[in-house]
Amino acid sequence: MTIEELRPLVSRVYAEIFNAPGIVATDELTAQDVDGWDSVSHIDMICGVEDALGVTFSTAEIAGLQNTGELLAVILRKVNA
Amino acid sequence: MVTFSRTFTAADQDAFAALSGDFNPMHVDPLAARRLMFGRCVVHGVRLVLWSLEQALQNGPDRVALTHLDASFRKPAGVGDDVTGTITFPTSDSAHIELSSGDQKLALIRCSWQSGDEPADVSLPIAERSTAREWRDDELNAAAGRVALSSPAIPLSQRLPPIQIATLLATTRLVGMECPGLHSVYANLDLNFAANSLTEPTLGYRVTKWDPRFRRLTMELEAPDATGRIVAFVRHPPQSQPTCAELAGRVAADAFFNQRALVIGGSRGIGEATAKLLAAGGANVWLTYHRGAKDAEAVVADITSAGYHAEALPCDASDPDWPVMEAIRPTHLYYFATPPIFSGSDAPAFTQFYVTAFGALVDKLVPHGLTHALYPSSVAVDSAPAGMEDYAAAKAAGEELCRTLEKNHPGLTILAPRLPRLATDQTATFALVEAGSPADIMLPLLHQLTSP
Repeated sequence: MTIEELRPLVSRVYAEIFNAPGIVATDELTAQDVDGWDSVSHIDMICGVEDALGVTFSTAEIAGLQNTGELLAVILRKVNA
Repeated sequence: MVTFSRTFTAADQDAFAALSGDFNPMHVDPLAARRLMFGRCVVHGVRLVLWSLEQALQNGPDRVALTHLDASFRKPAGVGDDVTGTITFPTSDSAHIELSSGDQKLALIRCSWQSGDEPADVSLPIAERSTAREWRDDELNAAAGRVALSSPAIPLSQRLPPIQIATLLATTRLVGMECPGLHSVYANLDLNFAANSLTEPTLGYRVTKWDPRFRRLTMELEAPDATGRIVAFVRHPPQSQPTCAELAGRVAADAFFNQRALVIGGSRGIGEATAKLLAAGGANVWLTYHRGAKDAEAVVADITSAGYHAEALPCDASDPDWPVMEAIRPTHLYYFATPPIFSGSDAPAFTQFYVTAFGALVDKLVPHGLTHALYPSSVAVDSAPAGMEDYAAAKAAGEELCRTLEKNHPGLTILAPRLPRLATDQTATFALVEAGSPADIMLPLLHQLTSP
C-alpha cells in the first residue's frame, strides 16, 4: 500500500469519527486542528483505523503519535510488513 | 435551525433513574460521584437523547417511528449545568442535534424517522431498582445477557412508539447497571429500528470486543424492532492510597515531630497520602474535608489505628470557619483544595481555589504561628495541555502569590513544587496516561519543607 492509497482511507475514518465531511488526513493534521478531536474521539479514531485497515497498535505506538503523518507512517509499516 | 436549552436538577436525575432503572451512582449519588472521574453527578446520556428527540419532533407529524438513531456522548453534562441544543434538519424526516455547555461540545445525536401508526398496546413493568453490577476485566470479553424493557411512561410516547422509547431506556440501564455496570461510561449508541422476529420485551446484549488498552467495549444489541451497537468505557474504580501502617516503614518516626500540620483537602488523593505520611512521621495532623466526611473519617481511623494522631474537620476552603482554623495554630499548612480539574471547572473556580482562598488562609494563619506551607503547583504550568489552560494559568498565578506571601510574611517558607500527574480520583482516565504514586512524590517534598 502507498501513502496515496492510505490517506483517503484514513480520511474517511476521520470524517466519520470527527463528524467532519470532506476532511483530508494531511501529514500535519493534529487534534488542535479538528473541532471535536478530544481524548475520547481520539480513542474512537484509533479503533476506527484499526477496524478499517486490519491493524493493531501497541500502546507505545499510540502514545508516541504526534500528528497524522506519524499515524500514516505507523500504519504503512504494519500493512506493508 | 432550532435551539433549545435547560438545566437538569438532582430531582430530574432521580426521576429519570426511576423511569429507566439506571441508578448508577455517577448519576444520582453526589458523594460517590465526587470520587468518580467526572467529580460530580452527570446527566444520563439517554436523558439528553430523549430531551433532544422531544425538541426535534415537536413540530413534526403527530406520530412518527424512528428508523435510525445514533448518539455520541463526548463530554458529561453536569447536574446544574446549562445545556444548549442546536437542531438542523438535513431532510424533512431527519435531524442532527448538537448539545453543548459553554464552549464544551457534549453530544451529537442523529436520527431519522417515518410516519408512525397508533402505538401497539404494550404493557411493560416499572423499572426495578437493582445494584449496579461489577465485572472482572477478564469476564468482559464474553459478557452477554438480557435486560427487561420497562414502562416508557413519558409524554414522548404519545409521539414515538413506546417500544422504541423503552428500548432507549433499556440501553442506559444496560450500560449503567448491567454491562459494564458500576464503572461504566456510556460513549456511543447506534440503533436501527426495523421489525424483527423478537417478541420478548427485552434488550439482548453481547460484547463483541473488549479492548483493555482503552478499557473500551463494544456490544451488539437486539430488541423487538431494533438492532444496534453500544460503545462504553469501563472506568477504573476509585483510587485508594496506601494505609498509614504501610507508609510508616518509609518515614522516620520523628521526621515531622513537633509539626502541627493542617492538611486542607485531606480526605482522599494527594492530601490523604500527605496526611498519613505526616502522621507516621510524628506530626499532629488536622485534615479537612468539604463533602467527604466518611472518607475523612476513614483516613483518621486508619491513622489512629496505626498509633498516630489525626483529627478530621469540615472546611469549605473558599469560606473557612476562621476561628476553628486559627484555634488549630498550625505550624505547617498543606493545601490540596481543588475544584474538579478535568470536567468543566472554569477560570473563576480555579482562581478562587488556587489563588484567593490560599492567600486568605496563609494571611490569617501566619499571626497564629504558621511558618511553612506547601502549595502544590503543577507541571501543567510548563506545558498548558489543551483544555487545561485555565487550570495552568491559575496555578501559575498561585506560584506568583506564594512569592508575594513570602515577601509579605518574613520567616514564612512556602514550597510550591510543580507536581506531575498523580494517581488520584481527579486524574483517573481510561488508559494511556501514566500517573505517579502520591506518596512517592510527596514524601521527599515533605522532607524538603521540613529541612532547615
